[in-house]
Amino acid sequence: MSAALEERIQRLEDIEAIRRLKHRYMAYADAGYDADGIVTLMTPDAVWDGGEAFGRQEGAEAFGNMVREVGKQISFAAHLSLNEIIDVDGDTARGQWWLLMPCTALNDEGKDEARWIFATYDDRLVKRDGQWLFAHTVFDVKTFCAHKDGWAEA
Amino acid sequence: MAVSDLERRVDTLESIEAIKRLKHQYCAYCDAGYDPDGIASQFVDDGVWDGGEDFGRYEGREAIRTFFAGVSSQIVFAGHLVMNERIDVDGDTARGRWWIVMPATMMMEGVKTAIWLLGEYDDRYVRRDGTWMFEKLNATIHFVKPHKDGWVEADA
Repeated sequence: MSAALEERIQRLEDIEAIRRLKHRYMAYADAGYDADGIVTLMTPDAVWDGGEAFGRQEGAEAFGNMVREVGKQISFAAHLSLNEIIDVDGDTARGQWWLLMPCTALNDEGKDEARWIFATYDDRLVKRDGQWLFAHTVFDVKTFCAHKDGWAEA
Repeated sequence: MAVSDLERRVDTLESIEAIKRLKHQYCAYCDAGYDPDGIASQFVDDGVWDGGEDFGRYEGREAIRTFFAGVSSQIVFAGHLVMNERIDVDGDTARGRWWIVMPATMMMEGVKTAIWLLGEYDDRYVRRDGTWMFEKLNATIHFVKPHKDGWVEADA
């Protein structure tokens, strides 16, 4: 096989691997916010920037701690990730995604309520020893609203 | 296996990926306030955007650009979320069928209203100078309903 063709196949494999990485991240989050699992998908010095809603976490350990705290607030969630735009450049890549997330979260009175998150991700990824990992994530929350209220006022 | 056979198979996989990216970028332009220049750039010169009775039919890149320049005043927030794609590639032409579920905030009688839109796309794509573009986008809208009402009239 020509080197050029191998490169083209490598790019397709990288895109698919990055899709799987993102879906594994979502699966860990769905499984009760498995912090120990989710941090294995990022570089030790990864930055996760959740803006005003979730704060900026520097390093996988800080991110894991935040994930554990979120898990205390959200007892059920389906992290549905969609509309990916993935650009691979050798051993680095960018991945942009949407998140549609129905969940059960504690409200201000400490009671479970049905809520929605609408958000986007902008990820920077690196390939280390053949494995794609998250190096930098910007998580932009558009809406985190009670189902009964809707999002028009948000 | 002849290299040419393998190259053709790889080309098909690359085309499917490129068409997914084209569609997702289209959705991203729509989410970003219906960027008229961005959307128009994805259509061939004589491309067609057909939104049926609800949204109308626009022929040619300029008509598509003009239509989208006016949409953002009515839809102030939207997530064009697409899924269940069936993409069929035949050389330099392709067909793509998708579902869309779209949470949005629309102006309804002057009031910001949380809505759900549900619809399907049946698109035709063409490859020009190595770049996949929209030749025709067909959107069939099943409903646009306020979030608080649901989608069955009797429930409203």
